Amino acid sequence: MSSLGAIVRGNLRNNAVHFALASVGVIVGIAAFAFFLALGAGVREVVLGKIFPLDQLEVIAKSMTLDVGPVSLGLASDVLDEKAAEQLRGVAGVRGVYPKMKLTAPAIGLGGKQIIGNDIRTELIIDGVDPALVQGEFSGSDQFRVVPDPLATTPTACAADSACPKDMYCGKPYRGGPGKVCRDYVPVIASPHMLEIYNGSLRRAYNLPRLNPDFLIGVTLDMQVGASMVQAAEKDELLYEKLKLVGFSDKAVPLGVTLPLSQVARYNVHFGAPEAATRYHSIIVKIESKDQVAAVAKAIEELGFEVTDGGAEQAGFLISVFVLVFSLLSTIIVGIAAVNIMHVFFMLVYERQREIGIMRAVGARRSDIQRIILGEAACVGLIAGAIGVGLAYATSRVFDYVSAQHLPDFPYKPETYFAFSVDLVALALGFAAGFCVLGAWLPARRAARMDPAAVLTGR
Amino acid sequence: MIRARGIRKSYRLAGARAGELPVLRGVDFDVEDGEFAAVIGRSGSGKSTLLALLGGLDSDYSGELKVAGKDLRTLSDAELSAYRNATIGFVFQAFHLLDHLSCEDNVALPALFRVDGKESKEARLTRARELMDTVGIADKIGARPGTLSGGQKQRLAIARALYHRPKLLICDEPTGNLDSASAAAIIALFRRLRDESGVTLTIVTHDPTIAAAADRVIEIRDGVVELAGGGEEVQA
Ligand SMILES: Nc1ncnc2c1ncn2[C@@H]1O[C@H](COP(=O)(O)OP(=O)(O)O)[C@@H](O)[C@H]1O
Ligand SMILES: [Mg+2]
Repeated sequence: MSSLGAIVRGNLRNNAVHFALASVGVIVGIAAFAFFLALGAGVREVVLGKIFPLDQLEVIAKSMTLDVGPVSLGLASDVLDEKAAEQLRGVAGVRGVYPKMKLTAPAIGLGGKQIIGNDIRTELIIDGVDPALVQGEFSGSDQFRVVPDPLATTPTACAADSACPKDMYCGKPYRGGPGKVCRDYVPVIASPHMLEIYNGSLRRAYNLPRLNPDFLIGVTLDMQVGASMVQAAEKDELLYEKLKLVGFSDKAVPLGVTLPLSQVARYNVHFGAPEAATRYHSIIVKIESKDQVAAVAKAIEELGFEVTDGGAEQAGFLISVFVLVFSLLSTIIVGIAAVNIMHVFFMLVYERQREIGIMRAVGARRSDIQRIILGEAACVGLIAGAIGVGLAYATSRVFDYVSAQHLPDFPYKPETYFAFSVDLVALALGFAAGFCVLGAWLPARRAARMDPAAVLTGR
Repeated sequence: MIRARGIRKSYRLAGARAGELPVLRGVDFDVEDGEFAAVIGRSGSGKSTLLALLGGLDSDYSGELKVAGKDLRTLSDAELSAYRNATIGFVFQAFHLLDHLSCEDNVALPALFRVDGKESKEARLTRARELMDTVGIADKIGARPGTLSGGQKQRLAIARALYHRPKLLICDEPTGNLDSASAAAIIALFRRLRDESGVTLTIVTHDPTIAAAADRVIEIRDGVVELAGGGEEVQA
């Protein structure tokens, strides 16, 4: 076989021009194939990696609803509690269970001057998550923890922040009233999605400055719990806090601010009942590996919970359809190229009748001739495939460059839209070689069956 | 070495002259080991057809054809290929060298198709150079066949045919493309090879001097062997 390799190499050199012309179609087809596959993989990475993380599920209590025409009535809704969390922890494939709690009392925020120049007053959506969920995810994640209960300590009066211990501020007492006391900032985290959407679209609509996440860390916002612009609290009382942004995490609620779970529980107990402390609204279940998502989701549903659909499945499906359509198109291009390869090999076999006859006369078997020609086809395919992948890669770089330089920002705008993996390159090369071998199949058979005597004795 | 009995061969024609064209209609002859046999006959009488059968390039015939103890019609493609590779050597009128290979690589071409026991590249080149020396073109080592004269090309082709030390050399009008001086030198080379190594020679020729030098002359006329005997008889 190695000696046949020498013949193949010699023939490739000799017929380089023919092969170069023959492989143009393969190069174009494989370039398209690799390009769209890499685009699909790249977009999937952004969508499933950043927009809809796939290694976690959000579990909610099963709600029984009765659909009466267009109206759907909530009949019963179980709450999630510590028992439910314990059940979920027992599901195979679950790496961790992190309850989430909504603030059930209304809250408003006041601030924004530091960022956009004007204070704004806004209804706040407050969520609580287990600090363990984000531990180590961003620098300063250790600051994201519940602060001491102000009702359990005697406040120190103050006149200015400088009079208070480091990391505290001088502000309104927890339950309001006259004077100022030293207070702890309540640490919050926000979702990077919010920042993306702001920077990508809202900002331009309102002509506001672009926000840099690092610059936002440390920003503070006054919060009044129990107050609402629309609705009075059940308890006719307000709690005063100052929130401080300590980091960004996609575990944070997409629109709103996220506090440590026990912090939210404290407010919920204050404005509700003691059971509110362990009444979760949803539980994030982290999964050991992405492959287990479906199985874990099924097991959780069998336990009687509901898994919210974050849209990941539909997005993944759409991407798959896109990739499928374009790889099909590329396959057609490569298929047409294979027909072209076939023509060229038929021509070459005809031109090389004498050479093939000589090899047969000195002892080449039919199968040797076939192997030589198919070997040539495979090499042509591999070389054309490599050039095609290179072309796809170069095109992808141009795309990324144009996007970075000339496209306006939009949410989740990635640095690159493409993911060229080793698997993808191997697939493209195998595909190219495979199609060329396929195209050369009939010519190789014809060459193997040619009558050497007729060519060699001059007829 | 060769035993031919009742060899019949016809070509199937297509197109306007569709039908069977009988070329050999019962050919009988023998060639002994180490003999120099000349095959003569008019153009179109079937000499090349007979050589293709002897050379294992065509096994579509009837009758019995044994070469070096092998019944050629019963051999598989792999066995026939091994037979062409090592048992016999071919020399053609048109030389049939590969112009994109060096002279040594042309000589060593049969080594690439050898099935039993691969040789190293060095061993192949050494053998090729030794053979080029044997046939008298040692000075052409490293050259391309395209730069050789007709006589030198035929010597190179003979060196290739000798690569695996064949028992039988089959030559189809080996001097047909050469001037008389080169032709005489090639005939002398054949005789020397036969005398030194005992190789059996079967040479198709139009050249009366070759026929005169042969131990046995096989004349094909109207599809049968007309006369088989020593070279001198033909001349007489
Ligand atoms: N492959 C072939 N197909 C059809 N006819 C052939 C073929 N080869 C040879 N012939 C015919 O067979 C006859 C003998 O040819 P050939 O053996 O080449 O004669 P020679 O070598 O004696 O000149 C000729 O009439 C030739 O036209
Ligand atoms: Mg002839």
